[in-house]
Amino acid sequence: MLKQLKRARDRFFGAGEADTSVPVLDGPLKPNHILENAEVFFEATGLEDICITADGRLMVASGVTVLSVDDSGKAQTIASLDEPVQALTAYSDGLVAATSGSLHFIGGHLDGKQYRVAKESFDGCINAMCEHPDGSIIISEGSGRHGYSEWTKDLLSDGASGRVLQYRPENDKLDIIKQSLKYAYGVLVDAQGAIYTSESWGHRIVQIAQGNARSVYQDLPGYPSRLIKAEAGGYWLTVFAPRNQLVEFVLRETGFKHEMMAKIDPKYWIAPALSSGHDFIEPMQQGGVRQMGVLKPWAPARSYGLVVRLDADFQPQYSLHSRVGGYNHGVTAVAEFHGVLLVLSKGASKVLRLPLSDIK
Amino acid sequence: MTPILELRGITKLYGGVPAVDGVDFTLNKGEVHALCGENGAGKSTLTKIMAGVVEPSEGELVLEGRRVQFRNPVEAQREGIAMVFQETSLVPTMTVGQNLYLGNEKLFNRLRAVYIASQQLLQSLNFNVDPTKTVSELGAAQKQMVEIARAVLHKARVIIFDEPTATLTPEEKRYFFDLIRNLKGNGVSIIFISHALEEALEISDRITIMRDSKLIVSDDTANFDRESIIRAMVGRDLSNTLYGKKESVRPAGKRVLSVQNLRMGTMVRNTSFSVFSGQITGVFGLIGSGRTETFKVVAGVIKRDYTHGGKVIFNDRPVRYRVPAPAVAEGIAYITEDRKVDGFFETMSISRNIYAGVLAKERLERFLTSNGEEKSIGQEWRQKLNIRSVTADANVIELSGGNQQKVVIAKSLIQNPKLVIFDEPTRGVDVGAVAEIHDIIRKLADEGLAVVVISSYLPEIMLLSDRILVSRQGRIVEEFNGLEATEEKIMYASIH
Repeated sequence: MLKQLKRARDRFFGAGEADTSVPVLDGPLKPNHILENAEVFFEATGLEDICITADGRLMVASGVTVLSVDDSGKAQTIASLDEPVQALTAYSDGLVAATSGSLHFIGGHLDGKQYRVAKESFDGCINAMCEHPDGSIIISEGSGRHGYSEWTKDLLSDGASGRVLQYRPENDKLDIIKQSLKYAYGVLVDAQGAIYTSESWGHRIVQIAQGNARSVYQDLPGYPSRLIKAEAGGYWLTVFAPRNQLVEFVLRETGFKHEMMAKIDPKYWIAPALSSGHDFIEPMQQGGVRQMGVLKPWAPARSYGLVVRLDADFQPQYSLHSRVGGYNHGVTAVAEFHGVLLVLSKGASKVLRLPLSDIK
Repeated sequence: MTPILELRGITKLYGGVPAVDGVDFTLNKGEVHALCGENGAGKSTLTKIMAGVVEPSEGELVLEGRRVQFRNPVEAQREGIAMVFQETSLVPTMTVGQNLYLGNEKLFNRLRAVYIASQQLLQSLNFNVDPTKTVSELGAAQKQMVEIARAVLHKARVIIFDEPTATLTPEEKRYFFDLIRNLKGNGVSIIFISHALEEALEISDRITIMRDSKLIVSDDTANFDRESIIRAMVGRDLSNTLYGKKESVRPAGKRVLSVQNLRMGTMVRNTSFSVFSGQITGVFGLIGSGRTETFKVVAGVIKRDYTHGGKVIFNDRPVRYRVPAPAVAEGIAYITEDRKVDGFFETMSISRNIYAGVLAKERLERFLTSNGEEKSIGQEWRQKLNIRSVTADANVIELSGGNQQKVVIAKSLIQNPKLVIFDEPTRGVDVGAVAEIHDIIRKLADEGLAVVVISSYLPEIMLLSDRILVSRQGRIVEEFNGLEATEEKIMYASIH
């Protein structure tokens, strides 16, 4: 009863959970065109994740294949799996690739090993992994209710079933480190062994310790995803879609959301996207404002490209953008490779190349 | 040219300390004479002596060859010397017309006639003020206009303006300068005190510069430029310190303040921005752009819209201050643009004013105040911020503008804020004190505090700010890095 009253009050005053405010991109997050103007290093369909192996090779997950790509952008298939790869990480002297429900070890001393996670504890939404100094693998699972490709459904369903897991290959043991996360997407272990994850629907990065999640960077203006360590100290964070007031509003309109999900094709939902603007009947493409007598096209951004450089305390230092009018949107992974930053734009199916010396 | 007014060897002592020291000053007939100097240089005292507000300790006044002595302003007024004060001396509960004719009433007055005459006078001066309005309803600029009209009405031969343009808009300033030229054309002599050196250079025929109670130089305006005036005012070259080129900017620290879609009436319209620690964030905007109101909402001085008012996040926590006290307690200091009204208790001493800052922060924790603590705090902050006064327990009203501003700053800094908002920190402050206040602001950012500087003066914004936010029509519309910003870019963003 009290909850209902509070909800009614919040809806009337536009406060609390009915507040649709979003933080602005300013300061270190001030928009630029660096991502949009970046050189294209590699293009392929179904690009998902990239990583650098212990011996310094660049690996790219593209659809069901894992590719090794050299400095010139020439690719060579090193593994082909049964299902699309959802996450890729370097592990010991080889690689681990995650598909829906399985971990596949590629190369190194565990080459060929597979781990099929029991269905009752795992719903196939692995989206990032990293190696822990103790030899285990830390895994982020976005949702326990929806598959990886159904992330918008999880967002619109107020998903909070994400988990961070720890898998030990030596005994095939899988432990839950933290659950009930609002879409865990991206994991990182620092030099001291502390575990961090991005909580996409919570718009924050959290440190997980003893079953508790503590915010280290919160109220992001977008949905954060994968994290990696930067060679010069600090971290790189990818933000795969922007927040905007319209989506925030829709997220609070339960009846509308459910009807939209039931009746409308997912590609036309009022929801963030990895790329947008390809179809004139997309939502939010027909908005307009009249300014000084001139009708100008206007629409809140559904997709955006953003990579944030964080310092050792997870505070933003600077950022790389592909703005609303650009195409290199839906950035889900980055890697530092031979003095350049490689940025994977899933929305544009491209890997972009930015010399590190140029971008600061 | 014939001098209309001459001051010979004028000295004024306060408690043995000279406020004006052996000054010889000449005002010619029909000239505009700018009087420049740092706050506390003695300009106001000198002009008050001319207007009969203050009697000199030594020296003599000669008016058109006659030695005169004024015991009060009425005597000076009778001789045709009128002064328009920085703080207007109008009766707030009376109408504009009544104020204009105050002291000149006939035995039987017809209010309608007074209003008609007032209307004619105000119109002839191009002042858009309703003579039937009570003075308390007027804005600062309109009050200033009534003061000027009163001086004109009294057919003054010498009019002394003390900082007349500080409260005027650019449009009103233009009318005011036209008025000065008209008065000059009619043979009226004008003394013009202003901290805006460009105005002095534009409007005056001669410039006199005072420093440390003494007259330093008096010469034709053509022989001065901005740099030479500043050099004479402060005794050193300050141009580069004041408005030199910026070479580096401080990187952003932690986000201390995040304002999201904030609304407050028609003044703040869906504005969003962030402020970071260890940085000076400059906020520029034209008058009415909502910059002051935005930060007043942040500091709890005014309330945001109750429904759909947006969000203010301070130190990662949503806040909604309805009064300033909780904002102060949590570390937000707002240093007002109108120090005389909101900044200090003018009849209290420096120490007591600064101590009021402690009491404001710890209002529930203490019932007893300590005189010893008050004195030691006063002493400490007088030294820290170099607050200068004739006596240690001087009331704040007796201080110069720059020193008053330092008291207001000290009162806020003693509260150990995490976010300091300076609203027009150097308005009505002389160039020497400007440099000192700029140093205080920089030091705060260097110490890791989040600092916001709101200013209408572009060179100040460009010199101080590590990042610049531009406000227009109630929202932040543009952000510049301190190094990439130019006056043109900022001005363009603030207008278009």
